[in-house]
Formats: sequence, structure tokens, C-alpha cells
Amino acid sequence: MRRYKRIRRPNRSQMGVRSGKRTESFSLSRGRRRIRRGGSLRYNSSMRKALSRRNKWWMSHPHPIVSVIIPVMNERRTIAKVIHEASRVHPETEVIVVSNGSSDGSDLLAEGAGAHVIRHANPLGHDVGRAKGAEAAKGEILLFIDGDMIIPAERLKPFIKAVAAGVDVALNDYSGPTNRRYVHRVVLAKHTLNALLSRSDLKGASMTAVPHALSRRAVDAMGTDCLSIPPLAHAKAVHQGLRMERTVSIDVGRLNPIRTKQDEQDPLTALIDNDHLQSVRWIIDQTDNRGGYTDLNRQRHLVR
Amino acid sequence: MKRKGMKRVKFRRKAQQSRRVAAAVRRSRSRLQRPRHKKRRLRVTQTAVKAKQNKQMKRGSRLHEPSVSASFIQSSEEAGMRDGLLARDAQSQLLDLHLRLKALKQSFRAYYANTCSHLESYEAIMALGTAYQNGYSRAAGPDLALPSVVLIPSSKRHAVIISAMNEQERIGAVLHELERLVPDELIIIVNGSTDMTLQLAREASSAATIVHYPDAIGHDVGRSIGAKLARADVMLFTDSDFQVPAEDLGAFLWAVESGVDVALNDISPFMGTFDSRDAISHCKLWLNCTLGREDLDVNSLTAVPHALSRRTVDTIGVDALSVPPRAHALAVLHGLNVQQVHVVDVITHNRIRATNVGTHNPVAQLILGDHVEAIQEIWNWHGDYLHEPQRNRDQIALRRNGT
Repeated sequence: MRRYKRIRRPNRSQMGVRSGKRTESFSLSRGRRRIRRGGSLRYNSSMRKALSRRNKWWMSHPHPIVSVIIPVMNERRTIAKVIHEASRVHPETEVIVVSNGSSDGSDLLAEGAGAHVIRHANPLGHDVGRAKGAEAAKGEILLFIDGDMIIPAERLKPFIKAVAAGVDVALNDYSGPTNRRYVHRVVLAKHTLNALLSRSDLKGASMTAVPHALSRRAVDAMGTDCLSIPPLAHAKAVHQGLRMERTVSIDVGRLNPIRTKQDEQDPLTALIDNDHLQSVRWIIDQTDNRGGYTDLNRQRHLVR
Repeated sequence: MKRKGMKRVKFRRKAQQSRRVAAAVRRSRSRLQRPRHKKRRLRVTQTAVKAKQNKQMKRGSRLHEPSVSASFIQSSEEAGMRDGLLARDAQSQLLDLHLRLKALKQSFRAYYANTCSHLESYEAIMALGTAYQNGYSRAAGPDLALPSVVLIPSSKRHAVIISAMNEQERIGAVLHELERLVPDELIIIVNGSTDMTLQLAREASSAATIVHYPDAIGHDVGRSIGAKLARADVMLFTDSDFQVPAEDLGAFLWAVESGVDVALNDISPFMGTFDSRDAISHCKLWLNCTLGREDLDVNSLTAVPHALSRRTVDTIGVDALSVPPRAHALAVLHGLNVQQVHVVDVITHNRIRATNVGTHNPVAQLILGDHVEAIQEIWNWHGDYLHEPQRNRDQIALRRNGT
């Protein structure tokens, strides 16, 4: 009995995933609820083990090599675990949480987990959040992940390793489901941008998808501002001749929850599509109206 | 005893309650599951329908059978015989073949306009045309015999435009097939040819307008020069690389006749899954999506054959045709009626050259550049409107995060 008492029972929000199911258990009848309450399903041995394994006194390293940047908005269910995994990617790591428009105490939780928290009252979105985080990052390697996806540290390490080995932009080798005739608009846009950048070998890998890691050199060359429009940053990186590679595949499509109802069109799709159009325009501005491509033997002056 | 009974009652109540709970849970679960059952069943029926359609397609015919009754075909044949007799009386054998074919086309058009102009499907037109021609040549007799042609009962003038560069092996056969369409104008742009292409073209087709450039000017520039020269209402563009049956080419002309402005070749049946396609197909698909025309799939003016109406050429300008994706984007942006109308396999028949193999071949680079130009055209057209989504990024952030 004493052994149990030694571990402080964390509050509900720290417990993570299961707290979200509270309402559901109340909708069941009284008898059912009694069983659940008595059985203490929320705090069982496996959870306790996970918590004891977690390094409670972890803090961001003051002179980090790796900076992990996590934009967060109301993600208290997962943020503690995400930070825990992020802290394990390298011995000298800082975790920067860009809390924007959070009202559920995610920022406090993140601070408690040892992250350096940047607060914004208004929601910024993932991309702008990432740009803000990159601005504050001190490390030589910048890793970008999301606050709502728990990716084990072991699967994040390849990105760090790739950048350490000289890659400037280590991308998630995930193109979405493509073994079919019709694919999602965003998947198509990513493929097309890579094709127009003469990097069709990247397939659908893009800086739009997390996780991805940047070297300090890449950040200095591109600037942190352009990270707020990921396809533009992608185009800039290719145009400036940075070394971009697909690293490992992490199926973020499955990890990412569906946020909109089926009949509703995702506003994000239009935005991302537009981002890609913007980056093609940027290419045009940088090169010529053909994006630097050959006109072969066309003699256009003959037609007037 | 009393206490025991109380307990029993309590127990019974408890048991009843738990049974009720179990029933409620079961009910709620079944309610959750019922739609899933329905969905599955629906999917099964859908696939069944699809399988049936596929079977019919494979068996051929059913869907492609001419939707015209035997009586119409018979009457067409009789009309052909009647007109053939008249022609035999009117035309002596002095008249050259071209003029006689024109006379045949004209009389078929008159017959179609008078009796069966309600029949609009291309299959029906083809069936009527063949029957009419059979009757015509039977009545006209062997000394006025005509080659089999594709009769399109159109009041509009047709032009066929091809550009050729070093095509001496094929040009004769291609032109022969094009003659079967009996076009009002046939324009051939011979450029950069070091072989017999020019001479062979001259021999093969006496009525054709042939433009010759000693230097290579590019296929697309050649086509736009042809469009500039043409005076017709409908322009059909094809390649001199390979022979497309005149029956297939006629479908494009007929589509423009029935109101389509840009009649595209439908190459989507030859496309595999997304990951097996090349970079250019991705560009084509994305261009159509960006233009708001997902239904066009990967079809654009990049693929031949295609037919344009006079209105299209006048609206987008002949010079735009030098860059096919740009012309395609302009046509859609101008609100012209752009449709894929017919399937011609140009993918598997495409000749393999040194310049069109591999991802970084010059032709692929050219087409990628063309798509950049097309996207720039969209920017020029929409301008500030495309910047709009950037402004409400924070609102989207708010929604995206599900609060």
C-alpha cells in the first residue's frame, strides 16, 4: 500500500488520453458507471509504470544541439507525452512549445513537463506557430512536430541523424495514400510542386508535413518568416540548392484525427492548395515566366 | 426471514436493473451499428452495378451500339441510292475525286437536315453515314466509285491542321486517313525536315495547303500557324506521328458541331494509379483542379487530337496555342465549353524518341515550363483573389484546432 502512495497521483489532465472519455462514461447507465468508478480504470498499473519511467525533472537544455518545436493549441490530452518523447531525441535538447490561443492549460502542462513555452493569446495556426518557434530556437538542428501526435522518440531520431549527417532538410517520407486513381488535393499539390521544382524524386514529401528537421544552415538561408507558408519554404529550400532528402515514413495521415464533418469542405485544403500556387508564383518571380525551363526550338515570334 | 426476503427483493431489483442496463447498452450499440450495416450493403450493390457495367463494356457493343433503328438506316440507304442516281446523271467522270466527295458530303448533309436531325449521337451519325454511302456508291456505279469516307452532316466548315517534321514514313498514310474526313481545309506545316516529308505531302494531298519552314519551329508553334491560316469554323489538330482512324477524328468535329468549344481527347482510361504516373500527369491534373475542373482529369490541350471552335481561337488568340497548357487554362478561364469527348489511345502508340524518354528529357522540361506559364496565367486572371486565403489564416487555425 505504501508503495502506491509514494507516487503522487497526477491530476486528470496529466493523465492523458483517458480523460477525454469522461462524458461517454457518464452517458452510460448508473450500474455501468459504478463498475468503472470502482475499478479505477483511469489509473492502473500500466499508466503508473509509464509515469514512473518518465523523467519528471527533465528541463530544456540551456545550450542545446537539438531544438524541438511544437505548436500547441488546446492539446492537453497529449502534450505531456509529446514533450516527453521529444525530450528523448538527443541528450542536449530543448523543447519549444508555441502555445497559441490555448485556454485549457496546455501551456502550464508544457511548462511542467520542462518545455520552454512561448505564449500567444490568439490562435496562429500550425505554420505560423512553427515560424515563431524557429525564431526562438537555439539549437543546430530544428525538429518540427505537432502537439497532438505522439510519435515515439525512436522514430524521431532518424530525422536528427540525417541532419547531423549533412542533410539540410530532412523530410517525412510520407506521400499519403497514392496507390489509387484519385488522391487528395493536397497530396496532388505536393507532388506537382516537387515536379515543377524538378525534384519529382521527392514524390509527395513536403515541408507541409511533420515531422521534418532543418539544419541551422537551412534556417539561416531561408529565414524563419517563410516557414509560415510551408510550400513556399519548400520551394525556397530547393531553389537555394539546399540538400533535401526523404528520411523515414511516418504515417501522419493515420495519426491525425479527422477534424471536419464529412459533408463539410476542409478550409485547410483550399489554404494549402493556395500556398502551393503562391510558391509557384515565387518560383516565377525568381526565374522567368517559364520557371527557368527550356522552350526548346519554339519560334514563337512566327505567330502574331 | 424478513431480512432475507428484503435482500432477495433487493437482489431481484438489482438483477432487473442490470438486465435493463444490458438491454439499453445492446440497443444503443445496435443503433450505432445499423448504419454501418446499411453502408456495407450499399457498397455491395454499388460494386455489383459497377461489375455489371464492366462486363457489358468488356462484351463490347451494348454501350457502343448505334442507338438508331433499322428503319432509319434503311431510309438512309435509300436516300443514298436516290442521290447517287442523281449524281450519276449530273456528274460526268471528268470531275475530280475531291469535288465528288464534297458533293457526297453535301447531299448527305441535306438528307440529314431534312429527315433525321433529331439523332445526335455520334454512333448514330456514323451508322447513317455508312448506310447512305453504301446506297450512293451502289447507285452511282463502278466508274464513279468513291473511297469510303466519314460523313459528318455539319453546316460548319472544317479544317484539319497537322505539323510534320521528318515524317516521311508516316505522312502519306496519315494524310490519306485525314482525306477520309473530307475537310474543307487541310493545312500541313512542314518544318525542319531533312527528308522527303515535303515532297510526299505534296504528292499525297493535292488540295492541302502546305507551309514549309526549313528550320524546326516546334509542333505547337506549327499548330498555331495553322490556326492562323485556317478560315474554317472548326479546327481539328492532330499529329503526323501516327495514324488515327478518321472515324475517331470525326467524333471531335461532331462534338464541336454540337456546341463544345474545346473538344479534348480523353486519355484518362490509359492512366494507372496515381503513383505510377509521371510528373507531367501530376501537373496536368493539378492545373485542372486549380481551374476548378476536376472532371477533366488529366486531359488538356497538350494531348492530340483535339478540336477547337472558331470562337475559342478568336477568344484566346492564336499565339496562345503555341503553349498548349496556357491555351487550355485560358479557354477554361474565359468560360468556354471545354469537354473531353472521345478516347483515342495516343499513349501506347506514341513513338519513342531519344528526346521523350526519362524524367529529365527535354520534352518533359518543355511541358513543365508550359505548365508554369499556365499557372502564371491563372495568377494574372485572378490576381488579388488568390491572396485572399492567406488573410484569414488565423481563423482557419481556430477552426482547425477544433474549438
